[in-house]
Amino acid sequence: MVLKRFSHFLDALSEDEIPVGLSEKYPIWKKNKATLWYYPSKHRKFKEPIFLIYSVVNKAYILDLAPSLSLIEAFTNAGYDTYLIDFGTPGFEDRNTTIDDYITKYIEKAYTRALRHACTNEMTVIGFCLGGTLATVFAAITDQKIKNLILAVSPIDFSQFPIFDKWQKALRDGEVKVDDFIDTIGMVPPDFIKYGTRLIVAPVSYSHYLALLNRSDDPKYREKWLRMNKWTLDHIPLPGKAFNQLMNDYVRDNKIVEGGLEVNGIPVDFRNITCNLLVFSTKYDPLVPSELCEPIMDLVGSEDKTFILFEGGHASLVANKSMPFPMEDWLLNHCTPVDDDC
Amino acid sequence: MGQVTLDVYDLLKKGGTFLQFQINNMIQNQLNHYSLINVAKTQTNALTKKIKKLQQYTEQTAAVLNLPTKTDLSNATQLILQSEEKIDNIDDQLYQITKMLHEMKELVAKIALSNHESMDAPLSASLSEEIAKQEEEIATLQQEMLQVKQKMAEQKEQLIITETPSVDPYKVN
Repeated sequence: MVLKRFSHFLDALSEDEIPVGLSEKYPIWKKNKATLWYYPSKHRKFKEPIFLIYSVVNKAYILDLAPSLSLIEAFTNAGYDTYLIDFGTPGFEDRNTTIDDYITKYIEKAYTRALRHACTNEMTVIGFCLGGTLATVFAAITDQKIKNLILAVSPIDFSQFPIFDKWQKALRDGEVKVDDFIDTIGMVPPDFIKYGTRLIVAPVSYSHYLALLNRSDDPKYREKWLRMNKWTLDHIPLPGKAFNQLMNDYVRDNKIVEGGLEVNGIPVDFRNITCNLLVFSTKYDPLVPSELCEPIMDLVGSEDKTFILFEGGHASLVANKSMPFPMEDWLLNHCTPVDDDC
Repeated sequence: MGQVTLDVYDLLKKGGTFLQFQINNMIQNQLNHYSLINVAKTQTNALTKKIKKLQQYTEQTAAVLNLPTKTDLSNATQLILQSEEKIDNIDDQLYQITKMLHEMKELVAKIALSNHESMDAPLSASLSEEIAKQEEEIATLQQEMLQVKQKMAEQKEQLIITETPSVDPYKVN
């Protein structure tokens, strides 16, 4: 039994490329490397489709790992037509792309295209991780109507970083400046992102192998592990200008909370967010602890706003076959049912 | 007396996870130190200067050998991106025009229905016909623009220097 499990463990490690992102999807708009994907629901039950914004430093297929392991599939099965703006993998030619560009030239344009495609005037916008941070700024500046805004493990208040406080202080005091270095290399390579994230979460990481070894006789667990592991190692480069803007405006100056954030020179007022708001965070997330997410509740103008703290870690909510229950319930109460399957 | 079975792997997982937590805590505490911050402070500028010099030499050498550099290729790609953006903006405007034309057509139809015995009926019909013609032309134009955008994307593909060539599940072929 012990040896059999070890043999399964070795088999899993030598597994070839595992397919991900298998839900039925159609590209409806492309710009540069970005694609707006449409995932039709077989039994559309709600008037407002869902518009997903994922992080700019990871690949979006975590939302659609495999059948029965896909949040997107959970949305379409529940009757929501779903759109996803996938930023693609930027190259050296995109080194001057800023966070403002991501918001105005990609997210806002894609949202307009999705509205146009769905023949509707409002949607539920869901932002994950850093994508949620961008979704918040987008919701504050856009003229387009948003029915509901859901922010999942999205950092807002960067003053509350739990570890590396001395580095953060040095960054805030202007002692450590990396702008010039990043501008020189142009792009932040995916390995920088990978090891940077790892430094915050776990510089030495082998416990996931022990978890696989422990449950390697369960084929379902093996498959999920392989897909999650693939995603964990699959980072994308970030344009240097976007990195600098993130580090200076969002992390160092904490402008979302402390004020002064501008998009293309126009001040951002988060009280402009008046749509229904659901913010959720997880208890065991060393990367984006709940203290970083919750402060958005005091910044927005929304009357209907809810904050939920779940059990689990950073990616555990999205890599599932169903929506987290309170989210499913919340969406049911905040979306308009349609009478026919149009 | 009940028999207790020891699961080696479960024990290994629990012990290993605890040890990993301890090691990581230690590493993170060691890295969160002013001496390291000082190294970063002093060495970043020196490293940046060296990289800039290297880039400068590469550009100069490439210019002498008449070879395009990564910067040259990316500049050409940026021109394509700008054109792509302009096409998108035109497409948005055309969409707005189509929407307005559609509304006009509905209005003309309504007027024609309310005044169906008046002299305006032929005028309404010709107006509707003209609007339909315009809509058709716009649709053709949008189709042509889409083709141009696709061709530009193909050209861009030839110029792009991808940092991480990997199998992308979201790549459209």
